[in-house]
Amino acid sequence: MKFGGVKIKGNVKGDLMQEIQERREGQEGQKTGEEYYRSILDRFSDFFIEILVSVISSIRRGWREKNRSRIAEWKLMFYALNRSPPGVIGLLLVTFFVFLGIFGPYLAPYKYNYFPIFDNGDTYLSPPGQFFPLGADHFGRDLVSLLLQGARTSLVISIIVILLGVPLGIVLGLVAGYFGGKVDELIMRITDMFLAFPPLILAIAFAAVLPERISYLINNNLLLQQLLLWLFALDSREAGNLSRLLAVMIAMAIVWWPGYARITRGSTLTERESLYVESARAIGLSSAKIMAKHILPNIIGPILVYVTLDFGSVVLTEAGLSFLGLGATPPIADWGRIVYDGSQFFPKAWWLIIFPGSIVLFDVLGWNLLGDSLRDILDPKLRRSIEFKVKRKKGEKK
Amino acid sequence: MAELKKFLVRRVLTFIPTIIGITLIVFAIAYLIPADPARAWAGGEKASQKAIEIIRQKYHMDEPWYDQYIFLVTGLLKNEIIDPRTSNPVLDDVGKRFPVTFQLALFAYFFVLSIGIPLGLVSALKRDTAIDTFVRIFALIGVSTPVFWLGYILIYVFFVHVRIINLAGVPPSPEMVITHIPVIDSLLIGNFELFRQHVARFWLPGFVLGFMGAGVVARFVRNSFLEAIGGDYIEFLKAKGVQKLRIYRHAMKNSLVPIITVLGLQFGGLLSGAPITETVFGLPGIGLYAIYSISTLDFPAIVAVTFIFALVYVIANLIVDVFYAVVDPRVRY
Amino acid sequence: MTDKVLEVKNLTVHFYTYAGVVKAIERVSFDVYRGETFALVGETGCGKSVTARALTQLIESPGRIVEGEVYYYRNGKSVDLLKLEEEEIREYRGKEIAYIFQDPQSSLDPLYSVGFQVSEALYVHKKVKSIKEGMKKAIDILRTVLMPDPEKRVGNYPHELSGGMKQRVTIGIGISNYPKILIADEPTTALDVTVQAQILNLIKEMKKKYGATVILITHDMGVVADMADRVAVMYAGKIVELADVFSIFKEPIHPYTKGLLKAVPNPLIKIERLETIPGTVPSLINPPSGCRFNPRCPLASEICRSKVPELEEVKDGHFVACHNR
Repeated sequence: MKFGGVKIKGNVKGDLMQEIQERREGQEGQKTGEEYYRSILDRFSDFFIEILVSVISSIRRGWREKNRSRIAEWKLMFYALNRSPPGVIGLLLVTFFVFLGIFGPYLAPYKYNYFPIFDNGDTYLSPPGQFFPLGADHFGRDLVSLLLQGARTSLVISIIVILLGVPLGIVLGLVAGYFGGKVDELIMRITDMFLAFPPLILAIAFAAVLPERISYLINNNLLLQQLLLWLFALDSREAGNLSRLLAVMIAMAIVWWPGYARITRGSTLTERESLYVESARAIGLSSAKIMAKHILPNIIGPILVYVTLDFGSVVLTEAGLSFLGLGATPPIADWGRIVYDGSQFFPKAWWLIIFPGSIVLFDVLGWNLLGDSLRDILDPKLRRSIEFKVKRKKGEKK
Repeated sequence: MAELKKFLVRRVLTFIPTIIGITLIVFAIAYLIPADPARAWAGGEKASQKAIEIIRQKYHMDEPWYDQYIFLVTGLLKNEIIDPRTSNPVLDDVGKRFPVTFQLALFAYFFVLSIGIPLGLVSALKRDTAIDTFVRIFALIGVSTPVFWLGYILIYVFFVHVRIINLAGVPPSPEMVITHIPVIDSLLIGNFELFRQHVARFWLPGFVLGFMGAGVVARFVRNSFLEAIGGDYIEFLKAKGVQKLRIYRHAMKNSLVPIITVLGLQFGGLLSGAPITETVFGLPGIGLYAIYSISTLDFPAIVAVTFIFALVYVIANLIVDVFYAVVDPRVRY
Repeated sequence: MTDKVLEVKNLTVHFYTYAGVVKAIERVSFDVYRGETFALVGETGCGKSVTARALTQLIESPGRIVEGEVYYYRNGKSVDLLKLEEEEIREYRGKEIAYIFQDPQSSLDPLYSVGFQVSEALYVHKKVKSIKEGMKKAIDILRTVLMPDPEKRVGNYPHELSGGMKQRVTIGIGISNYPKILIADEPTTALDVTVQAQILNLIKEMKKKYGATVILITHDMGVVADMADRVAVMYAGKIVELADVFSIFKEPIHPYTKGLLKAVPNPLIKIERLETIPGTVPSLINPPSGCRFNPRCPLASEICRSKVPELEEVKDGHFVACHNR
């Protein structure tokens, strides 16, 4: 299989590990001038990291010099990812959908709130190819435009859910794990309370009862209203429907934080016992500082991998909720909602189900593939098993 | 066995705070219910101020929060909360629809187990082969597939094209009620025709709901089994001269402990997915009931459904813990 | 003592790891005589356990038995254990050749009662018809290994027993089928010092009672002095010296054996102070050329670096692999 400029054999990962090992050794003895072959993908990812590092360095002076080993580690991680075809596919899919999420609304040939049916009655549920390449919905709207607009809805909701839920879970988990005792007991009992509900059910309940309360908030807070409209790339006409979108986000965040509280608490408990935490305490650093500056950086890696893995389920859950009629309301475009509206005309208007559904599938699959590969790359146990696999093939007997 | 009993008692006692926790969250949901529905329940815009007042009073909407909490909890426990839409006690309405959802979950669970476990074992035994890769891809696609999408595609295949399933209503329950789950009851009383009808109506929704879980379980079974087979006691069993199949049995029992956890979680996942599956297949379970309640602002129903789902979920977890203790003697302490 | 029960020839095991091929043991040869206690001595990682496990093909991937023969003598006939198929060798394990492993904690399956696990050993070798029948015999076996209160303990799970008791159970499993050879792989290392002597005595006792041959693997020269009839000293995957226990302690020939004895209190000779062997155990991926001990050897010369010394008989029954003997 040809992949990104290098020929990839069956035992890609193992070769890679060997290469990484050699590179590591090479870096130690960089004076010897050893250079290792990098594929096009590797060069590209190096280039990307260089840009990122330059950006960070321009904000925080001297960052590049201080974090040399971290940057090298990032590069190595990408090399590993570049040699895992599922990971590369995942990364491509994710990049594609993030791109769509950002630029989709501007790329759409028609605006989501333009209803062709008023100009031409024939556009009503017109099949793919008749007026529009992927067909039209019951307002005669172009499905392609709706999907592009829906990419924004999905991406924004997912990111906000993660931004609300994950930090909340991390903070609570850190506090619970670090202080232990009664604080721990209290936080974990509350966490357990939330975990006692099937997640989607709880999200449905909150998404159902929240909007009325939230609409007051949004109507009285123009800034928030403007911000949300801008984020979702919506006309100001849709202001009245924002409360339902916000309700879904809050409902999902309520469901999402307990898992992160658990994970963070677990890793905090082990880190708390480490020497570096003890010495930080011994020199009199405040608890908040120890948690934020010392424990958090050490546990954030696995949590971020978990976020990647989890992002897909956020997208999927959001699609599920809007399929149930919660969240986006027409004319706001949302993948799940398109299927929900389209299902009234099933099986005649099959395109309203097949296409949005496949889009969701590929988006979620992308995140899952990426997360799965990242987990493999960071898991020392799996790394070793990969190593063994290669060597067995090179064995003389059997 | 004495310690097993003690463990069970202790575990059941921890059930109580969990239930209290559930009522607190359910209350939080109920408390968030806006005041406006009173108008809707009383008859919309034309509702008289008096009727609204009566409803507000009946549901303690103007009382302080602790009074509302007590009203809610006692109401749920005594089944005294009346659904404003149907005028029935709300748990009665839920109870009528519950067997459908539970039966759906059972069918889905059947698929989760019968696909997930064998596939996981095969891929562990044939690790690093094509089967192993297939299971991995299957698991990934399983967790990535939107339930509604898969549902409609299969409906398209089996209903629109081959017409071997039907999507209207639910077959009647057998006249004799034993377990309240029609498919089991009809089998128990020997009404095979009814049994067949139930299977015909539920197998596809069950498969769709269980599809995601099957992949997850397969992958998990594979990993736990491989971990168990790598244990030191397995080497000692070999040194003892134990047959291969028997060694697998030891490994299987040891990998069962983590697998049970995932199977328990999966059951919760199935409940979670029930509303979507019921909507796609038009099954009148409590998921569909909840969705319908939302559109009619019937909030007591939402509260009741959430409560019931949590109750089933917690009981499922309790059963998992009991299984745990039975399988693993170390847990009993 | 000329009745051979086991004859090991050129046994070689390699592990294929990412870091390279680990040559865990290289052309190891020795004989074991009926009724004796044969000790394999050496530092951690010198290949003692691998040797013991390789005897009945108990080597897991990524390890592989590369070459060698292991002849097992029974009723005047001999079989090469390494040529046997999976199912055939299984018949020998536990029945003819039984093992006791280092860590009783992880040797027992945590989910089954100890009685079940003893009974299972009987059941798989068709000594009993059912596990249930075996449970009764298990009580007797537990009594033989001096388990206190065996009627009650038989129903206990491993986590309910102390380390010493667990090791008694594994010994019980080991002797349950009256094996001809009992291989004890560091049977006391994971135990409390106070329990160690009890377990060693128990092994002696069992040996006397059933007339089994014991292959004892240990790094503890005290245990060797206490238990062994003959000793093979291993270093970096090879046997460097093999002799009866008195010769080893009184007149060690190989520089490594000498160093080893200087490093531990020798029960036979008065030593002023303990010494250490300079340097560390070599990597088995790229072992030193010639004699593997040469980088640490005080007597190393050119030939030690170029030529691998063969194990040769220097006195009656005293074998050494050294150019400077």
